[in-house]
Amino acid sequence: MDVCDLLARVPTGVTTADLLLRRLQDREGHRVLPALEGLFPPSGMERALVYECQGHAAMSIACALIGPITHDHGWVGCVGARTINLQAAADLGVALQRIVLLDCGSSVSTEQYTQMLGTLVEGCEAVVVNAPQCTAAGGRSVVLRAKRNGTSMFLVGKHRFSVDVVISTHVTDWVFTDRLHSRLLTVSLHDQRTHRKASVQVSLPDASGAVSVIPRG
Amino acid sequence: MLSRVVVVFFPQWNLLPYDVRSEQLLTSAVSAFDDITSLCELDESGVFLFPARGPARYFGGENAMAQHVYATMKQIFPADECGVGIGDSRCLARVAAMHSVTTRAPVVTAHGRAPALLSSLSVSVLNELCSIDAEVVSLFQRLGLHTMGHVAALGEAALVDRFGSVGRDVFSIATGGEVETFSPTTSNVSVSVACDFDDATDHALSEAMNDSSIVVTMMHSYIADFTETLAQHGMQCLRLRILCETENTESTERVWSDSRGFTEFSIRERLSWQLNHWLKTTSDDERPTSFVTRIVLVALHCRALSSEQYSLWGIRSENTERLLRSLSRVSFLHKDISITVPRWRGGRDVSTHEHVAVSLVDLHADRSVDVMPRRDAEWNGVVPAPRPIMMVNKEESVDVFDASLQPVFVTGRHELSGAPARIVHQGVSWKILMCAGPWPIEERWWDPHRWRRHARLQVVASHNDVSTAWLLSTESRQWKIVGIYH
Repeated sequence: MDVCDLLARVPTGVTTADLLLRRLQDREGHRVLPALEGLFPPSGMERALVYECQGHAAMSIACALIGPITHDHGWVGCVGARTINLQAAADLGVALQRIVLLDCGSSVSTEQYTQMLGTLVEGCEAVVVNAPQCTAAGGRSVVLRAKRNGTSMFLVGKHRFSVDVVISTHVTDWVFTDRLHSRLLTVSLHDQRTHRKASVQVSLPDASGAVSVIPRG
Repeated sequence: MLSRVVVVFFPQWNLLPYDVRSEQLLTSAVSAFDDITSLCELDESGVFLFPARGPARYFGGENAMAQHVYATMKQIFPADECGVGIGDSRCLARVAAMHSVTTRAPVVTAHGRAPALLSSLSVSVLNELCSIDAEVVSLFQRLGLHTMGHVAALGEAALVDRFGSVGRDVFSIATGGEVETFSPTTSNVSVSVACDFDDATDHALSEAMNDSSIVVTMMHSYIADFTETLAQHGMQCLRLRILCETENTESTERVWSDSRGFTEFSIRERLSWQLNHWLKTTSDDERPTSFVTRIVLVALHCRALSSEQYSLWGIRSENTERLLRSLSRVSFLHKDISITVPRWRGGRDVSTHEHVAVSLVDLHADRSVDVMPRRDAEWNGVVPAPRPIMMVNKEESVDVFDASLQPVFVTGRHELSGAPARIVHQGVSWKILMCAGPWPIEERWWDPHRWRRHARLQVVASHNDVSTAWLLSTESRQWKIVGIYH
């Protein structure tokens, strides 16, 4: 960390124009964890988009992205994610009191699943869907309702949705001490609408189970 | 003259699936009540109310009528619990009905005994049965007013002076009086909406006007107008009269109540129930012979909207209300959709949270204490962070071998018998790149029947240049995958 970075973090008690502008811009998008800020514009993670999480850390990155939404008093619906380890999600920054888990039994038809998802997106700020069962047409109707409502969707696993942003994860290394210490990841973002690309290197999870920037050197 | 109220109470109402509630209870129970009384009111919590005086005369007394109602309910729902109570006020009749569930017989309270019977009841009844704000009840308790008798002894003037109109309601309830009457025509506000489909539909559509879902859809904008008009008056409707008429002047009229206040969705739901019951399920003699031409919504009892207003920082928030409405619609879609929220359980297992049905939890309350892991209470033998993000639903067996292809196990000294080198999972051999552990656990070693010994191991394995990390568990020399670092 260089001197400029250190100085920028010193609390001064003075609200500069830059900070004020930043705060105003923050209102536009969802807040993101500091380690993932490099992926998104200064205004944060845009609302009402469909984010696809890919790769070996797909669920971890989805949890890391919804964490700040739950801390900002937003509700997040998790569909088909009954096997998610909630303590690991809490370690990644998810406020568990703001998540609702929905699971469909085998007797629920694709139409009913689509209807359920469409209804859910009208009640939550964000929805994480693991392996959605919608058809392409059903997916379009769900996305339409989500966008109309300002709800962000995070898709994990195979799906037939049309996505706005793809977030891929690639494991670069595992660090072991006397236990699994951390996983080093390259997280890449590709905005399908603007073809904007960005990537960051993070420890996800790090030694405490959270997300952190990999220190230089 | 004192009013007498009959209450029929189904304690398991909220646990019943939506289709059972709407179809069985509303078609069967309401049909049975329609044979007894012309005016039956339905509460959101499985409570049916109707005035006792007229029907009691027909059956030859209140006891006979209560027995008849109880027997009818038991005949229709032999497996379900139900209670029948009669009292001088709604509050007393509800208490009697709840008591009836435990005694398994109808409970009829004596005339004019309401103040004496109510005086020993806890003030919490005011909130639980009479929709008085929980904060008012909490204040009574903090002031040392623990029973209804204590509150009534304060006198109406003192209560009105301190709590305004709520104080008047509290005094009325505590002394066996009524806040609401059964009359379908009296109202404390004059808000109503009448929709005449005659003008709105042509002949081609008239057939469709016998389909309840189409009628409800056509009522959307009128219902929105109705709730908006009430909101403009700063009011929220608690009791609602819905009147539906056909071209041949057949009609159905029902009073609905909801202590939380009617929303657009809940009005649509009640209209749909009423129409379904009327258009589809009544006998041929009673089924309307023509299509629906007119629907009237009348607000019978309202309260100031401020009592349910969303606070800026506090307990009730708009997005939680929105979520609850959405979840309530989802729960109606299919009985096989489970909606749960997490709750901290602790323990040595990798999964430290349990899933609790959302209907059993108050989402408006601050649940952070219930769900967040307690670091200071970590158990011995728990796997250290980082933890796997995904648990394996159905634990998958694997075989773990050392470099000489000998099976690896955990010895009695909690050590690995050899350095793990390969894992065979579903016939595929994975090369172990790194591993850590084991973390052994010996549970209930003092009990020979419940004693359990197992150990966990973190591994990173690769196959065809794909690496993945697993959390393995071994018990009786059998290895299983319990978590994936996904």
